[in-house]
Amino acid sequence: MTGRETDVTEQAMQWLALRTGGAFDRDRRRTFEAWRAESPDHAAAYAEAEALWARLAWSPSLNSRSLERPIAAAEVPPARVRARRVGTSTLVRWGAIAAGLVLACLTPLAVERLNAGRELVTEVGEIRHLTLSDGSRASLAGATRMTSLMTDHVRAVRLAEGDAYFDVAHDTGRVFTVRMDGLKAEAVGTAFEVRKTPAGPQVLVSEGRVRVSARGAGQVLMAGPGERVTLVGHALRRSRFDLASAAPWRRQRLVFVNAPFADVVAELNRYYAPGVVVASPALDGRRVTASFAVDQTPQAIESMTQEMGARLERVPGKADVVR
Amino acid sequence: MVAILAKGDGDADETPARRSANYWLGRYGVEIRTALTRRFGPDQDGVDDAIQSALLKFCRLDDRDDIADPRAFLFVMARNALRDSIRRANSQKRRWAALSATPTLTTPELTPEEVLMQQEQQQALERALEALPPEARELLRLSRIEGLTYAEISRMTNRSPADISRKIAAALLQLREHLRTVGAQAA
Repeated sequence: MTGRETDVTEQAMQWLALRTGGAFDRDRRRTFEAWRAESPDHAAAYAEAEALWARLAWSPSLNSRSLERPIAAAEVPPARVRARRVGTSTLVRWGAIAAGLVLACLTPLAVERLNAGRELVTEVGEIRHLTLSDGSRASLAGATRMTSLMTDHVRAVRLAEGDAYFDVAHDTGRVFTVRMDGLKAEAVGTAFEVRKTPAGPQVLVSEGRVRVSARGAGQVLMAGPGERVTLVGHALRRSRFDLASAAPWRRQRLVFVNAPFADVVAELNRYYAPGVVVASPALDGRRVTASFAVDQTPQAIESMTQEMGARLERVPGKADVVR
Repeated sequence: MVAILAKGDGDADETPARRSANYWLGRYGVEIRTALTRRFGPDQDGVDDAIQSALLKFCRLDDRDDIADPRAFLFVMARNALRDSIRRANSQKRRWAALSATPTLTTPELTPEEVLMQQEQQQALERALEALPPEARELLRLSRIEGLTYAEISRMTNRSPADISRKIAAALLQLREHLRTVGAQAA
């Protein structure tokens, strides 16, 4: 390649970079058009640059990153200083400032750290699948709040609310830890679910072995596939569950086999925005078996209520009341 | 969209080519929807329509067995469909004001069919991207995928717009050199 060719290519890339950046005024455009018209080489080099730019939009790796951590419109700081808003928008702005600070000192290491300490929140009814920076896959059920911290030595996840399923990337050097309400689950390469239930936080193991411990109690047990451990008060209780129905919400389905109605309602409230309230405590312990798609939740509540011989009060804009 | 989601489970033994729109919607619909809604705001009809039209188009593609990452592929298709609809609706949103002010300067876009025809080139590009410094890759993503202007990226990164422009030009040049070297070795 000749030096001149390199120069022309470089110029073409510079023009393209300028053009796509947003602030391309009339003067610049005139200069650009003049440059492009100057020689067929210029036009060809620029066409090549545009072709590369067009292909970039389809890059799986760039898009995966945007899928996993989409930039919210609110995250981009506004151009002008505006009146200070209160509440969550202030939080969002602090988040944006923090993100700005992190990006400001981008080094190869810093880019990795963008994933560190990230908080993920799903809305009621929203199910989200994502890859953590260690390669582990996580699925978040509706109304779930989770923070993850991934460093060279630590893989730590904290669930504040909700229900999450983890397919942990194998790494014996870094134990993968999930904490929820005094319960700790540790694994090096397995698949398991951690969720909040009315009885207490619960771990359900699909593959491999998970070490479950309770904070303060010093009780530790190993759970294998099909085993379910619940922290009730300060004690760990072990029971079994049907592996075939492990975290069916990942596939937009809810499955309950002989489950207490209180547990069913707790889970329904992760997907049904109006919410369900049980007004008769006697119903909480009733056993329910049902299987339906997440978006069929309203109809499912009707039929479950009917089967139990209970009454459903549904008023638009308010939570369903079962009594 | 809701009604289709109910049937979205799909059969595991279907080949990718025979999988229905419902399968893909069930598999990636929520994720793509979340990403688009976060990025472009909660104009839900527009988002759902864009995902639907992307799915229909995707399922009509003959060579979709060749797509290594259907999730990203669908995401691009849905995003392009949404951008088109926003452009068509002549949205007053600030982000698109710059584009509509300079109509002759829209960025070139490839159709899914073209991308499929260029699968080998796309894979080579993917390897070239891997060779870039992470910061350059991140700047490319913010500009090309997220569609942010340099002024916006500048406010997120504290780099000057001119610096960002230089870095992106340098990254593009490096990508091109990498692709040429690979091409020369293959030839």
